[in-house]
Amino acid sequence: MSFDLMLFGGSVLEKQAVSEILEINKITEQFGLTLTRQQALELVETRSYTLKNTGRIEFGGGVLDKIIKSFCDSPYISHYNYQAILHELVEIFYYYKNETLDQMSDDDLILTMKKHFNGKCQGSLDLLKCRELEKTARNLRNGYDPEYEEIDSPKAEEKNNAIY
Amino acid sequence: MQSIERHSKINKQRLSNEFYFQSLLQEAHNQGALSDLEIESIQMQIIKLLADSTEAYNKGLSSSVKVEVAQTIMKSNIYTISLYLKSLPEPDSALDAVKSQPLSDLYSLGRSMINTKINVARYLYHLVCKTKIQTTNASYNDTIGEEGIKGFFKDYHADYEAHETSGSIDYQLMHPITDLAGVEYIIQYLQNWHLENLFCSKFEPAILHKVMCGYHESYADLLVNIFGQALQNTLGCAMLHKEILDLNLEATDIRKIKNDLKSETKESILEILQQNAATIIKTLGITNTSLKSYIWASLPEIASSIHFAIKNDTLQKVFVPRVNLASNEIIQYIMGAKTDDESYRKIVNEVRSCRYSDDKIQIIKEQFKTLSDIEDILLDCELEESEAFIIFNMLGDVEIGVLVKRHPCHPEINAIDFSEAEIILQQYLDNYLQTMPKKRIKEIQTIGSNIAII
Repeated sequence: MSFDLMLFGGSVLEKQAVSEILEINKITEQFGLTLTRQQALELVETRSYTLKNTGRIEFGGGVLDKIIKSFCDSPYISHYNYQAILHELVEIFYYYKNETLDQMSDDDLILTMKKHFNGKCQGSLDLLKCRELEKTARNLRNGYDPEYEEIDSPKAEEKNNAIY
Repeated sequence: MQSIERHSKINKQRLSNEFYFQSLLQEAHNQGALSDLEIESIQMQIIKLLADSTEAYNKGLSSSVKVEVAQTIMKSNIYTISLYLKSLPEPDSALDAVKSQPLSDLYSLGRSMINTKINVARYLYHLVCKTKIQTTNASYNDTIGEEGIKGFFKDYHADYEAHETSGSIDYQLMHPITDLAGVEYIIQYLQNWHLENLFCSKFEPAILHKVMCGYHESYADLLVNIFGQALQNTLGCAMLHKEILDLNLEATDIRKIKNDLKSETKESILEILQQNAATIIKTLGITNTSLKSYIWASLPEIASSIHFAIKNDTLQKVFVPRVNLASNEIIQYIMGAKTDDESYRKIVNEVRSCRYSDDKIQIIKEQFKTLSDIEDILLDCELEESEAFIIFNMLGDVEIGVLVKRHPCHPEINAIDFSEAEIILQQYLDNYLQTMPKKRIKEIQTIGSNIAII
């Protein structure tokens, strides 16, 4: 009798996740952001695809609702790029769950992503993924504080002194 | 009158000991005792259980885990359920339990059984330590020590890795355990080991050592079973009506056994061994039923190896002659515990920063009491030769013998095999020996060759 994890399909779980996302529309519509049922389904599919690609497994509603709730008030997201950014954010999230060796909780990682996306990256997903989160992950893997700055500048030194 | 046995749909023989739950479901499904719908419901319950365990594993901080982690947790859950189901009298009762009770309940019952079994394992480990035999075999000593089975009690995670057998187990038993995992494996291993120890403790450690040296001179470094060799020699002695406790078989004795058994079949050799085993059990006063069964169960394998050895003229590998080391009694030397890294580092820095040799020696004298520390200091402190000589003078012949054995001077070996510090220490020791009278050097060399460092 096989108990392969991949056998346990997610059609029921997917439906549940889609309805959860549609529920959040009530919160996000005040920022002019909503997702249709089709778009919500596509987002859930992206999650499943990313989970498979990153070798992870998730139970329950997952983090989609947390990502949406956290990023919906970003000044860099409008209804033109809302869906595309969410897809990217989901991929980035799971990728960095692995890269940080699961040392960051879901909430902390989303908070870090949001802080950099709205701050230094000014809405650039490339900068978020390839610079800021890379740095955070490297710090964590090397046993430093996630905010530790390697750059040899007086500001970085000041910041590092404040951390330690 | 014939006993009445309950007819069972599931054949017990077909169930795996290691993967009991899976094999039970498979067998029940094949026999039609479980429908597809019921299987699906069980799978859903397993997923629910996995989701709960994963949440506990993540402490609610993360909703996802790596697939490998989830698979390990699921295997652990299934192992725990299997443990409870195995405790039920019949496979049918186990199947009834699976059908009628939620899997989460079966898991809880299994989980509490694991706690009990860990305590049983602890007790058995205590018995094994109590009956430990004196031997220089490294796999035996390492398995019983901190790095071995003791590691199991430290590293075993009953919640998420119940099926894993943590701890380093190198010592080979007469009967290897192949169909158990986790705490069940450890219990079985310790039970078998305890029985082997009980048997071996009937003999003098020095005699066992001689027998094992007869098997191989460097048996101390080999993965060998002491019980098996002792039992084989005992059987040989019993066959020749020699004193069993001496385990003494000469080359002529082995030739005699070969002549006696050369026309026998494997089955008849087994019969002969069984007769002699009964004599051994009686002579050694073995009353423990489990030990008797253990000896009995070892005989077919020994019979097979004797039969094979006679064919190939290698009987001297089954019944080994004792290698007499009367003039070379082995000394066991314990190097002693090392100082913890942080304190050691501090002291080394202090010694290195001293300007005068007297201060260095004073610190070393005060701070270090074991030879393993002294050895590290000699390697790490970059001492002058005269300073090293002062330290050597503080040591006795046995300690010097140990150091010479561990750091022999090998001018013929390429220096690349050793670190710079090691080469310097080797030279210091060599030069130090040159300052001694020849008689004392010989004594130290004899000690060095007969010492077993622990």
